[in-house]
Formats: sequence, C-alpha cells, structure tokens
Amino acid sequence: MRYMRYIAFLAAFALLPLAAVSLGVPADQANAKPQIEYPQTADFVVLEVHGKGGRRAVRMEDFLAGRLDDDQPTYQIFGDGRMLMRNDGKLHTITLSDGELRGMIEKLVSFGLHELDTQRVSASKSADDKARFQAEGRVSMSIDVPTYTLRFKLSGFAPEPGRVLQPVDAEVTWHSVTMAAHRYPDNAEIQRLARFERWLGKLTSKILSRPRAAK
Amino acid sequence: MRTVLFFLIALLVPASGHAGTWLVDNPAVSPFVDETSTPHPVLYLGAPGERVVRVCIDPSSPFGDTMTPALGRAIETINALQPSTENFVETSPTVPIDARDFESFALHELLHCVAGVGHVNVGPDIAPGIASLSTNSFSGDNGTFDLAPGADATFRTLDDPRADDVNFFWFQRANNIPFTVAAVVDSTTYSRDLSDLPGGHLFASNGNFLAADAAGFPDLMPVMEVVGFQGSEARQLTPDDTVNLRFGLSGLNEVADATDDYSIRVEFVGISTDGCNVEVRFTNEPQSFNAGCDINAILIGGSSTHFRLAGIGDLRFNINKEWFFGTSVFADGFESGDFSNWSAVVP
Repeated sequence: MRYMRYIAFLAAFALLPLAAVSLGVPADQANAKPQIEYPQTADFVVLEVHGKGGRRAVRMEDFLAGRLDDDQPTYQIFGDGRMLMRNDGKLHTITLSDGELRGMIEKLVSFGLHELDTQRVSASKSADDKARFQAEGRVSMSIDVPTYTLRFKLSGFAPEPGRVLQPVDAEVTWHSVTMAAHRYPDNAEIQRLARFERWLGKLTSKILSRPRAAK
Repeated sequence: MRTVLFFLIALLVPASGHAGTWLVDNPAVSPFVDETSTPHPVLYLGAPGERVVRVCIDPSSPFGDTMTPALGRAIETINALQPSTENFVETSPTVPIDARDFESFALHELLHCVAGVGHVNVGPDIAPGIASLSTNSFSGDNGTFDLAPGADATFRTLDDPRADDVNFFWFQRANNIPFTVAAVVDSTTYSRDLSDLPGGHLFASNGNFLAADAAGFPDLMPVMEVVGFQGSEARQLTPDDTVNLRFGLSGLNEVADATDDYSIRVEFVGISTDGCNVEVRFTNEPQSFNAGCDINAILIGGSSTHFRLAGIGDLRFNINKEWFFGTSVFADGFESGDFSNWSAVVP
C-alpha cells in the first residue's frame, strides 16, 4: 500500500503538462479557500475511487469467467471535467464545468483524506478494538462491506492563499466505515472516512437520478 | 444457535482471510477471536429455552412497506430451519437480469445479523472465479491461501491440498458431505478440526453451487456463498446453512442435550423502533456496496470462545442498486392483496 506522499514540488511540476491551469481563486475572494492546480487534460486523473470486495452481485457468466464488476475503478474524475461511474456493467459519464469540478475538488479537500496517516488510523482503531474487548469482552464487525481505495492527485495545492503550493499524490485504502463509525466517535479520521462514504453515496444517487439527455 | 464467529473488522487494510462458515475476525487485526469462536443470539447466557430476535424496519428508511413482504418471508425461512436441495433458481422468471433479489439477499444478511453465520467460501477477495469457491479458511502460518483443486481438478472438494490453511467449515465427521444433515447436529457429529476428517480426505468440502451441481444437485446454492447472482433466487436454506444455525443450538457445551440447548425464533416487528435487535434500512451508499450487516458480540461469562450477539444489528441495503422485491398481488394473501398491481382485468 502506498500512502499519501508529497513529491518535491519542482520535480513534480517539471513532469506536468504545460497546460496546467491555476484554479485558485483571487486572494480578495478566497478567505480560507484552498488554492488548487491541476492539468485540465483528459488523461489527468484527479480522483479515482475503487471499491472492491464485500458481498457482490454479479451475473453467473461473469463469475464463471473470473470477471467481477469491481475490476475497474468505480469512480473517476479527469482534469477535463469528465466524470465516470461504473455500475453493474453500465458506464455513466458526466461532464463537469470548470466551476463544478473546482467545487468538487474543494469538497474532496475538505474531507482531508489526502492528509490521512493510514498507519496511525489503523493502529488507533486496532487499539480501540482491543481496549473494548479487554474492558467489555466485546467485538464488533461490519460484514459484507467493500474496501475502498482512493487516489487523489493535484499538481498544486495550498490550504489557503499565500502559502507555497505543493503537489498532492495520495492513496488511501480502508474497509467501509459507514456502519462502524459510531463506535469511534473521537476518531476524527474515521469520521472523515465515514463522511466521505456518505457523500459518495449521495453523489451516486444524484448521478443515477439525473435527467437523461433525450435520444 | 451457534455460529463460529469470524469477524472482519479490518480497517484500512484490504480484506483478507475474512468471514468463515461463521463470522470471525481477521486475526491479523483482532487476535482475540479465532476459528474456535462461536456466536449465539442476543441474550443467550447458557440457559436453555427460546431466544427471540426482534427484527425491525427503520421507520425512516425508504422502501419500508415495499420490503416488508420479502423480509417477512426471509424471516419465516430462518424460523422454519428446513434444508432444501432445490433452493437455487439460476435464471429467475421474475427477477430482472440485472437486479438483486431482495429476499435472497435479505436472507443472507439476516443470517449474519441475527445468528452470526459466516460465509461458506473464501470469496473473490482471495481468488477470482471458481477458485473463490474454495472452503472458507484462514490463510495459516504461511500467510498465503493455498488454493488448489486437487486430483479431481475441482476447487472446494475433499481432495483440495490446502497446506496450512485453517478450516472454518463445519463438516460431517462421518462423511464430509455438505448436502445432507446429520440427525443430531453438535460436536459429536460435526467438526472443523481437519484431523476429524474421514480417512483420505484432505480438507472440508463445502456445498457451493458448482460442487452441488457435480454431486447431482443442480438447483442448490448455499445462501451464505460470498457472491450472489443477479437475476437469480436463493430463498431457502440449504443443508449446510441449517447446520450453521443448528450447531449453535447445542449451547455452550456443544452437545445436544437439555442442559443448555436453546431454540431461536426471529420475530418480525415490522416498521418500528420498539425493542429491536436488528434494524433494516436502505441507505445511500457508494456503488460497490450491495448490502451489509454491522453487529457486536460479547463473550459469554466463563467462556473464552462463546459469544452472544449484542446491541442493535445494523442491516443495510444500498438504495443505489437495482432490487427486486417480489411483491405481488398475492404477497399477503389473495383476499387482501393489492389488486392495483394487476396489469389487466377483463371485463
């Protein structure tokens, strides 16, 4: 597993397409808004969420052939505003405007997943579980839920104006916590992950219920 | 009711070696629960008698009324505890090809949430395709799932050479056949210890749908297989599903006798918050989530391996998936059915 890492800004910047465009808002409007940069290109993956595992539902012929519906990333957002969602073999494509994409990235940044120290979170959760078992003889489990891997990438990011932009190249993997988060009310990272899952669920609902273009 | 409890609560690590024939935790994360653990229903403390598990539909959930008939049928199926060798309809005449049959999925999740029953097979997280049908296990000391088909060239059977994999599956001591149920289900007739296998057998056979087909049961699929199939139905318990439930009924001593045996009755409360042990709801989840169950278990006093389920089980279905509820005009009886569902009445 790779963990979030910051790459030396200049080295990473040298690898980026020249089309990288700053989407940071003007300083006089920004207040605490983050500054964000990414290449507005079709091959730059800003966000990728790959959900795997849990209880699957597949077609028999796919199962026998070793194909699963989670062989490919479930969600992808590209620098040109294209968003893909795969669902039961169907590919949903959504096109986001610059403003919509920026807004979505700001939302993603607000979850703080790119700053998550997964080793620390895992150790903390495990310690909580063991303490609960020793104190109460209690164990808890979420069964049949998926494991998510999130990859989040920006060519430049600063949490607020006036600070040096740093590239973001983060990868976080976790076992779904939407049902378990209530057991860790003081674990801010688990609460962040749960909020992100809930947000992704609502986004999914919105995509599926959006008006379709007339054929 | 017993179910050997294999908890998968690994957070921030990919799922591995999860859920056995019973629910058990990932030992890499939670070493206090292993393949010897056995769960029982809520409030079981070792005394004989009936244990009632109350299942409710969250009043705030979408589809409350819609899911009621199918959920009620799934609960009746658990209470009946009757094994079937013809429970699987691969191509359902009614379930749309891309849809999940709610009743089949509800039955699976209820077995987790009311009884702690785990999975039959290792599942696709461990290996793709038919290798995933291999009997559920831990990976053993070598940290690797040793999945091989053996001389018969089929995974999941008695000749699978599984090296040091730790078996989770309750097999019949007498014959290692998962398609029948012994007259008495307890530790005298079933075991997970591979040294109790019949002579020449290398691993526990599970009753997955391919093994069943090969054994002459083409319409059998355990409810507790990891993968469910779109457009299909598995609405009745198979022999090994009932074994998983019945073993626990032998109580803390794991022997069918009068001292600590109990029965289980799942009571369907309906749309309510009144005294619920399991709450069922539809929620907005990401696309990879179909359905899941979140439960707690507490060690029963004096035992280091027997747990009782505790707290309120949280059973969720993803509203962003296509579900078939099977609600028909006859769902609650001909006389009281909703005739507005009839497509045509002439004259």
